[in-house]
Amino acid sequence: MNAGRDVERLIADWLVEEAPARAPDRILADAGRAIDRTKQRWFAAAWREPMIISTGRLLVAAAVVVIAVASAGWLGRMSAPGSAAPGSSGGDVSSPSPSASPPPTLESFRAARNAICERALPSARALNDAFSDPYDPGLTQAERSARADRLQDIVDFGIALRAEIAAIPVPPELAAEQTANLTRSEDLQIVLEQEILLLRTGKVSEAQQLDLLTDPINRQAEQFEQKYNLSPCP
Amino acid sequence: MNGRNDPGSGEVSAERLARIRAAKAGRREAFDLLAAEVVDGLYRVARLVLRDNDVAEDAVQETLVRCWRDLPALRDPAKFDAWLHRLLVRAITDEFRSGRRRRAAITLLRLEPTTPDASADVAIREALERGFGRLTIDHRAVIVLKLYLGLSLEETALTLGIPVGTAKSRLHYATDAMRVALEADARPTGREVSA
Repeated sequence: MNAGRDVERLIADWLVEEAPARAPDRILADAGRAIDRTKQRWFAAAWREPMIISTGRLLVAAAVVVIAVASAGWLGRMSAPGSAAPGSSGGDVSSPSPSASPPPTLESFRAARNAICERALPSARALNDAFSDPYDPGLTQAERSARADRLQDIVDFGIALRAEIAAIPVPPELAAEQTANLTRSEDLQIVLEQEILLLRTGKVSEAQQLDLLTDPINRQAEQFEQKYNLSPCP
Repeated sequence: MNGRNDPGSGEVSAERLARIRAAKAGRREAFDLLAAEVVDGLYRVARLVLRDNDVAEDAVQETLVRCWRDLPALRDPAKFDAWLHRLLVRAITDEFRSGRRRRAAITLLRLEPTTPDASADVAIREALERGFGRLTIDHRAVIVLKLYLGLSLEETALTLGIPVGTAKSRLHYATDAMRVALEADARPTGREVSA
């Protein structure tokens, strides 16, 4: 026990000796230039308290999402008998109109998408400000349900935004990835709706575990935006 | 704050909270002040974990950019420091794994002593350096957060986004590996015995 503490003290002293006094000035300057080109994101992956997550519980949560996503996809196909090939979602709107409008390009797609996302920011900011941590253990169920309602507002906002983005003409080289990104947005919506349901029924830890599944979806959406130099969408 | 090596952690003053809220609301001048406050602490942690100046600079720069970008999503400004350290650890991991590890490894090799030093202090430092260099980034991060920043195990776990038990076992493994490195260094080699 004491030997372990001695080693810890030795390491701690060594780290203090090794630590540089200050950061080079260029870090702030370089970061400042990068930040000039960076817009703030709303509804990024939320900061959560750490949880003890058993593999079994996480698997159950993942299974709920898989079933929900699969069901939503199946229902979507059932309700749209005239839709195109299996697997295509409502997001693929690249079919040309009969009029002689120019074919969509990456630039036209980017401009239209950026305009929608940038216009959405003030509303996103207001929704974000109205929302607060629904996992706080000190909340009464009524308070938690009220916070779940605000999360539902955010989900509804996301659905409307997705519909707007889905209506942008997509260049052929982007069609598959745009469809995948819209599908990711639907997946996110399904996860959040399941989470809201759990919050409203007082199943806080299950909701919090489910919320972890939004991280990889958000990261993939971010990668898509970065790949095509698109403004971050709330 | 007591016993900690990070001036940005611990109690959050009302003035700092106001600055965090302003930056969260998109006020760039407030963010610049905040960045200037935290950059030295971030760099110290990044440099200690990564053992490479250039990669550490990149990790800190990336952390500040992500901080600005994702700050509106921080629900509780009082948890800014823990959140920022979590961003830093992610950036450190990303930088380390983005193909720069070879350069870091070369730097580490360059730091390895070629001949044994007579000074006990230097020998201990070299043994610590070797032991630390052999740890994974995850283990180094736990060591630096817990033993350099002076975070509790709970705070370390919160920063890394892992359960407390995992943080505890990583710390145990890492300190054990460092102790083995120290013991190996203290043990006389065959050549020394025969000399």
